[in-house]
Amino acid sequence: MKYHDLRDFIAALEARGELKRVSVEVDPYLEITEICDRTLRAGGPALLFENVKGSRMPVLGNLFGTPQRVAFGMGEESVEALREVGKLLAFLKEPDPPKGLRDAWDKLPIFKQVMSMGPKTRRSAPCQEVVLEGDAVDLDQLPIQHCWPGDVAPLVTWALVVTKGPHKTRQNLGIYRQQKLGRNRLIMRWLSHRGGALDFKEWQAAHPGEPFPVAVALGADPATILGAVTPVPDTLSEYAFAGLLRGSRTELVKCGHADLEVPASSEIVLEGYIYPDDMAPEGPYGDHTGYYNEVEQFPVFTVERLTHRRDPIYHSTYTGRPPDEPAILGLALNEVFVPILRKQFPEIVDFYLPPEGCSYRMAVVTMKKQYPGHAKRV
Amino acid sequence: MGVWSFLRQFMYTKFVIVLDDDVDARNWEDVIWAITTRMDPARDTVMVENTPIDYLDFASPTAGWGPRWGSTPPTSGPARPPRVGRADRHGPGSQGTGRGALGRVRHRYRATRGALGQGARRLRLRFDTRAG
Repeated sequence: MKYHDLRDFIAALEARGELKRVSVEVDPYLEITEICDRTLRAGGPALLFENVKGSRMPVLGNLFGTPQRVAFGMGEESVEALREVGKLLAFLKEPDPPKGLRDAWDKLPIFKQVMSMGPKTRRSAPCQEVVLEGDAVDLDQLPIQHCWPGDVAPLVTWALVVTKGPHKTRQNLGIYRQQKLGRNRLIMRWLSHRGGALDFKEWQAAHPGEPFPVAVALGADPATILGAVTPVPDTLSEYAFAGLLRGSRTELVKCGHADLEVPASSEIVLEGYIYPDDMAPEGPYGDHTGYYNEVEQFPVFTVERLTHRRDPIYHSTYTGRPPDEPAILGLALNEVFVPILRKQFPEIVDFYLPPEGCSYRMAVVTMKKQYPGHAKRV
Repeated sequence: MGVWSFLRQFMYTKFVIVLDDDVDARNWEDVIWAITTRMDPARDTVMVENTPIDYLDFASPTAGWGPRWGSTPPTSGPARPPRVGRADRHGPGSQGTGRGALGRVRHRYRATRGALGQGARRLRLRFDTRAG
């Protein structure tokens, strides 16, 4: 099953009993986090909060709260099938030379599939059904979650941030949390080594004193969301990878302000700029380790245009001590990593990143030891 | 070494435990049993020092691996951050920005290092030890 947009996915999950609607009023201040946390720990369904205090938009939470739902989102039926996704990535990272003509012929479909998965740009798109510009932009209309008591302000969490470096044709898709500062201002918290920050740095060097265009998509189709959290090889864009998962090209639409493209089916899109020297102290926020972060300076994203589908759904999550939704994503992605590692080190039998270790701080590897000291090579 | 260098995100992995293939990597009971019965800590632990990623670890707001490894208790600094969620969590007490935080972490790092009698910025445990 492949999903064209988030609404397809919601309908499919609901039909499987994997999504529940919550019609009683809930508060985006702490309450949604509490309900999602309890549901996730119980292995429960995705939640669509239809009546959120202070906003007319529903909130979608706990979407990828079980590895099974991550597999569904990738278009697979089971968590085990995610290894197939890993095999494909392993192959793309380092294709085996064909062993003879027959093998080359057998591999042709994979290459054909990869070649045909470039994204497609549409002229109009659902995500631009409603366009709000300038003073009409009001982030207070969005049911932005305030996740933990010690958090400094509401936080945009499931934001797919689209950037492009000055020397690149490939757009970068990354997920960076964003503190709400006001009606049209968010702090873009990208750590210095991440794609968006690198694009920004290159932009500053190439165009000193000029604003840096940014687009943020909320609530894209599941393949695009998962493409953004999967470590795809540099040669493949996240959009192309999402196309591979979906089995059909990712449909994009141009933003109004810059040469950036966002998923056409996104529920909500924020377009704007990071102006030179516009920085603000970010945090503290509770993060995936279970601690509150320190306050640090990050650039401010000024939203100048907000577009959305009719009756948009706001997609949200929270991060906290594992297990949280990112930890579940980590568990599912673990299956994707195993074939990639085994391609490099065939002696590896299993590879596991325990969610309790924040999903990446500790790795447990089992292997067939073939000679003394073999383990040290791995 | 392979695991660390292969995929970018594994650079953040500060513990790598390598076990024989009769152990279920996903079962803590199995893993702890194998560690305690097959490992000689002095012989089988490989420490890697001064890897660049530690600075990123500081730069990232999840500062301070030091206190969390081993038995060094979290220092009760003046600005210990509040905890997320449940009240029984222990946190490294680093807060503030820039050099201050880095200095504190370094200080604690040295303390940990002293306590262990080993110089290391990262710990890798190796279980290479099943007979033969």
